[in-house]
Amino acid sequence: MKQAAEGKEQDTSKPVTSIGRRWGMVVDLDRCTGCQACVVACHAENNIALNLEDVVLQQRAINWIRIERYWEGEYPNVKARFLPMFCQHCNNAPCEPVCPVYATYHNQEGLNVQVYNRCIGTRYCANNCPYHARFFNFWERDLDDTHREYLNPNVTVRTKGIMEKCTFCVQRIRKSEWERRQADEELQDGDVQPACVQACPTDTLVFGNLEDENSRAAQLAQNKRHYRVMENLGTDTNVIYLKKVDPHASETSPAHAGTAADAGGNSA
Amino acid sequence: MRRRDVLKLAGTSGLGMGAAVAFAGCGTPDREFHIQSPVEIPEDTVTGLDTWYATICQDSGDGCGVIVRVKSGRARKIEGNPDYPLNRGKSSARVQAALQTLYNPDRIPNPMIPRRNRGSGRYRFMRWDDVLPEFQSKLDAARESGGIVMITEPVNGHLGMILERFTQSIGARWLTFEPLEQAAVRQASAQVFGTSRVPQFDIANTDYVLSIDGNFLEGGDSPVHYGQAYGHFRQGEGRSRGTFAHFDTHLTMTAANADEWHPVTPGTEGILALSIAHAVLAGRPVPAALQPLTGGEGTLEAYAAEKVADATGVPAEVIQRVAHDFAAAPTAVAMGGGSAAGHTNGLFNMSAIFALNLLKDNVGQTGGVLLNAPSPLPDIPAEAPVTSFEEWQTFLGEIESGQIPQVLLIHGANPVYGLPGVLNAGSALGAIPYIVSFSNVLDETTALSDLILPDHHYLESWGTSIPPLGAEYSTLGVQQPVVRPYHQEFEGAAGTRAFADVLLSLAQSLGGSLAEALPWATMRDAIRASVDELQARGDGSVTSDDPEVFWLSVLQRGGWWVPAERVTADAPDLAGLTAVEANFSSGTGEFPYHLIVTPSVLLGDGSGSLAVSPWLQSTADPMTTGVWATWVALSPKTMAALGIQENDIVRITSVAGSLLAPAYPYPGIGEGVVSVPLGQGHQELGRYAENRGENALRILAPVVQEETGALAWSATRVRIAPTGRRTRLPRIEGITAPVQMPDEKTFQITNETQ
Repeated sequence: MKQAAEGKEQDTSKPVTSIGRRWGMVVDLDRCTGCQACVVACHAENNIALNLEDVVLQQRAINWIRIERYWEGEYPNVKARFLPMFCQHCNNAPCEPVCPVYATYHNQEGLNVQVYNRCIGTRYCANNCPYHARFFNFWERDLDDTHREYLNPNVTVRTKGIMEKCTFCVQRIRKSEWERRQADEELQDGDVQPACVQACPTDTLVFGNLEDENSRAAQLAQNKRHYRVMENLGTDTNVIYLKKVDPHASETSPAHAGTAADAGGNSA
Repeated sequence: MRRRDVLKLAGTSGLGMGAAVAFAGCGTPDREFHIQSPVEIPEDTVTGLDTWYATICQDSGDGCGVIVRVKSGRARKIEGNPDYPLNRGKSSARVQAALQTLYNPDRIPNPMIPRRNRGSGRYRFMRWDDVLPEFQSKLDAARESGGIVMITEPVNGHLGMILERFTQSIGARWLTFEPLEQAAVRQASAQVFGTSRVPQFDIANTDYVLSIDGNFLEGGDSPVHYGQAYGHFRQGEGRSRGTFAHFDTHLTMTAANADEWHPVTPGTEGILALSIAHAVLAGRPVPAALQPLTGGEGTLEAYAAEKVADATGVPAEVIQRVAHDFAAAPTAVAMGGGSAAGHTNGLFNMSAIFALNLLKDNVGQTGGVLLNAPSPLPDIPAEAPVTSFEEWQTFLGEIESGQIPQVLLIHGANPVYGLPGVLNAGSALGAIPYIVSFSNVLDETTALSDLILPDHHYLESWGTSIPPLGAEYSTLGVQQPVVRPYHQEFEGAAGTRAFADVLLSLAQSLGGSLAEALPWATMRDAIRASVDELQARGDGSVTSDDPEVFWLSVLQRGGWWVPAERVTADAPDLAGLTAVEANFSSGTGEFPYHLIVTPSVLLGDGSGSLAVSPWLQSTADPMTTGVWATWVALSPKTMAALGIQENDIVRITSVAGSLLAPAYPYPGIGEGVVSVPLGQGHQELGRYAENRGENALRILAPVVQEETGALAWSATRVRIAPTGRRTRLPRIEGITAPVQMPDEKTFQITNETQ
């Protein structure tokens, strides 16, 4: 993949995805069982700080991806629904314009990017994120010696005072690009699998280039069950959810599910 | 052929011989095992490239095939092995967390003996050469009198074979420990399907799943396998969406994924199944195979929906509707398990549930019940022997009455933690004069020992696994060391050593029939001998004329498997399985609530060492989002009646003991039921696990299932009392103020099934 825009002046009239690539995720809520494999896979891949008990009690736990659980109805007609929530990589991201130092911006592949060494920790971005997808490092990392051994060398260990969030495993995107480039090939659909996608036993998560209409993700995004979370905020997310199918929905729950009462980021 | 390509090959399917030859020709893969010094890097090492090795995960409980990313001599990431038949590239939270059981700061690095006396909690590091001779002479002495006892986890594959031969030849008693005994499930499977290996329910290809307490998405035989099948069942390409009805004592994670779930009174699951059978038959005569279940009546009239509605707590119209859907579906399976198998009538419950499949005549059919393919090697057991609770009671009773064995060997099992507290397993086992543990973490049972000979982690050692589920392939999964032992031996001194290798070298030194039964020097040799047998077959996932190439290819693929023919079931034999009511530890007067102990989807039943992983500890329980703790899930109505608020510490008391934990108002549980998650309450196990939460296994009443001798772990009744104290249950939920979007739901549902 040749970096077309490299070295050229930015043309602001062009869409942000000027290189024909817009990474996105499709989340099929009808498949998700709430098993948490994605959550631990993400921690393992991205060198996320350990959420020790007092960290959780201080409400400062970091989970780039979490499974939100919504209760619905009254016993015995009670149901629980699971929704994986992570950075939605909005095309119109509320977190971006508020950063005074441009530590968060949109790159040409549709990724909402956090530049760690620009971040000064104002936490405005987390404040502005309606999805609670941004997390602040309140402490310097204090790892047991043995817990350093499995750190992923491709991912920065963030220091105190830095905001972080889901990157769509950008290190995996770069690696796949590099491998294809070695063979003089273009990146193919399915080459890149973020850690959560690779772990997910039920294939709830599908990752791909939404600009490429033949990609599996783009195809699934056309499914008639598709919707975006908090679409009327106008964030124009790159994460598309497919509605949960419940044949009994109209009988038991005219309201068709819950509000974001269970959303949980860390308090920014 | 560059190393990068080997990596790719390890991760992709459809390899033939070409890859295998190339692998053999690409230099010494052995070099990759070395932990590389950052100062002296071999000249040909390209930094920044990683290598993936295939092996088997032993933390997940089901032996998932995995590939492990190794870089700079350390394991960095685990993923599912895309080739492996059981899990096809997928993994679970437990598989992912294996890095933290490997690099656990509290692993035992060297052989240890207690300072001063046993149980002092302080240890002295020893050299292998200094402790092994004494160990061997003690074994030799005890061998004469038959005074050796071996306690392990239930284990199949090569380790199972070695343990069986070792204990037989040395005249030892071999006990295996399974905390939430599944004996009822296995025996029901044997009677209904003719095999005690619980079959694979083909939910990926079925139209209708009826599950009664069968928590296949969070527990059971393989959550990863069934998770994958479930995804296909819901939205798989080329099929219509399947329907899933679930009955359970409370809203579990599996129940939450059902299209409809209904609470059932604990202990009446079998009656519910018979009632469904009655409705499915709709007046037709009961088939001959199911006749024993009628108790000589010849009909199931006594189980008509309206007659059992009160007892089971399931409305008659629900029973009829579910039965109708089950009968009308082109293909359907009936699954069971969970707490239904843990009642005193567990065998009846499970048989009645499994027998519903006979009404659909779906055994051996696609979308039905598929029997597992046999082990590819006749010598290597696919099933792990399990010692029943009754035998455990007898064993501990013998010790108390003075018949004390001389030597106790322990590996991978933690009976002091997992057996009900009233058995006092700790003090009974403590009477044994010489206890040797092979555990690499200091668990409650290991804390009793006189000598600790720490085992390698499974990512550092050899082994095999035969998957618990596998109708399509007859599989031998091969576990190879992917990294050098973290606590490495130097000149035979300190460090960890593989359990199997210690046994094998002991067998050689002790000689005689033992050495004949176990002729291999190491586990690797034993596996190599078996793999050579497989090579001679000339079929399967890997073939080669060259034994060396074959061996390397098997390691590269993570094992060997061959498509299996459908196994046909023996005729069902339900003799003696009439309906019996569940008995409980006590009446409803003093102890009004059913205690349902629930294995955690993350920490399991707590018997392993998963609780040492901060990732698993801090990942939200799917239903309550609780972390790092034990809680008591209570109906909000029960809490109101008892004057209990969320986070109030309550005391749960059974006839066998009590525990203290914060109350959590659980919307999905009935008023008569209390659910307590398992996995915590360790006194030992290192900094992340010890003195945290409570172990509900401890307060289980020692009620026995008559037919199987298993512990009836669902039969305990409890009372609940507030203590007046409060705490804060750490939870992931509710950390920030919710964003309210009045017009738009975050979680959206459609009732169009497409």
